[in-house]
Amino acid sequence: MQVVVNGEPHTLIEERPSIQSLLASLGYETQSVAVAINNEFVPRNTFSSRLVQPEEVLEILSPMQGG
Amino acid sequence: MWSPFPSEQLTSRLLIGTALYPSVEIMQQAIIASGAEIVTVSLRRQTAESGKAFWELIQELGLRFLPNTAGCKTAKEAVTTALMAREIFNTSWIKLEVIGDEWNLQPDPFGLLEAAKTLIAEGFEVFPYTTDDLVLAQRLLDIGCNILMPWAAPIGTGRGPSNPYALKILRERLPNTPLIIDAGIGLPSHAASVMEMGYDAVLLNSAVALAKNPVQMAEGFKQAIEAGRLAYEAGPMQTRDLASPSTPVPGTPFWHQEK
Repeated sequence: MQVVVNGEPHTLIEERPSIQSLLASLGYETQSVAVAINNEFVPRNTFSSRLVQPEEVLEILSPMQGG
Repeated sequence: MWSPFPSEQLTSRLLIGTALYPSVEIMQQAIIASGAEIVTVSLRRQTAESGKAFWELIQELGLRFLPNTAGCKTAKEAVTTALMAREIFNTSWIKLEVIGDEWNLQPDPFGLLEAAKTLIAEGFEVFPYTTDDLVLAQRLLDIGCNILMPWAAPIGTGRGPSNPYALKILRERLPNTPLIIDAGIGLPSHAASVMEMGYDAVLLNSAVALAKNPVQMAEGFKQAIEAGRLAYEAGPMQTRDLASPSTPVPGTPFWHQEK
């Protein structure tokens, strides 16, 4: 299925994976990222239960330098 | 010691950013030289690997994080970013930026107020990046902000205070609100000048990170901010239009001898 991750289209082999499963498949460590789907914050404690739906738009953000 | 909130005791009146340094090692040394106890950080899209070095180094310093919502142009974007930052950085502090104009990165007063209201209801301690507008400052306090961060000049310009009069009035009208100057400072003398007005602290990034020697500049700002605060507390003399001799006049040799 198709989703958008950080502005880039992605084809996922797994249908409707959990966020946890999607993060693992993309190589992210769950503890050091925060996720929003369709511009809504998704708390970490729902990563294993919240399933990613086709065409959803994900932002996966990490700590970065800032002013 | 000073206290932006009753629960927080701080020694340093300098808050420092973590961006734009030539390397993460120089960033780390500059932060240590600055004596800052609070560092600003952000959230960005990254590949799974990039940014790890920064995150590990900055955690080693053991300082308080003040995450920002830099780049957000709407209240909705800023609120979502703040919620994400709270989870990652494990703090309810947020440097709230809602940008209204891309050219000078001027805060959007309406979006700022809207986002601040939502975030305060969500339990955040909001540090709003605002202009020197007194009425906006009062509205932000009305909705529950405990601290304000007015600009001295647009972010990254290093111009120093554009409107010292407005900053002076803001300080005088809000004597009990912790006020931190955020943005536009380029030189230690700029920082000293706002501290002399009675501002509680200064937040810097570009002025240190873009110096030829960021570590030395961090030390320079540390001293200037301490000097400005000491001067404010000491109570400066009144200025005068005409000269007044500092050396005692009685006993002046050759005084009026030509009469």
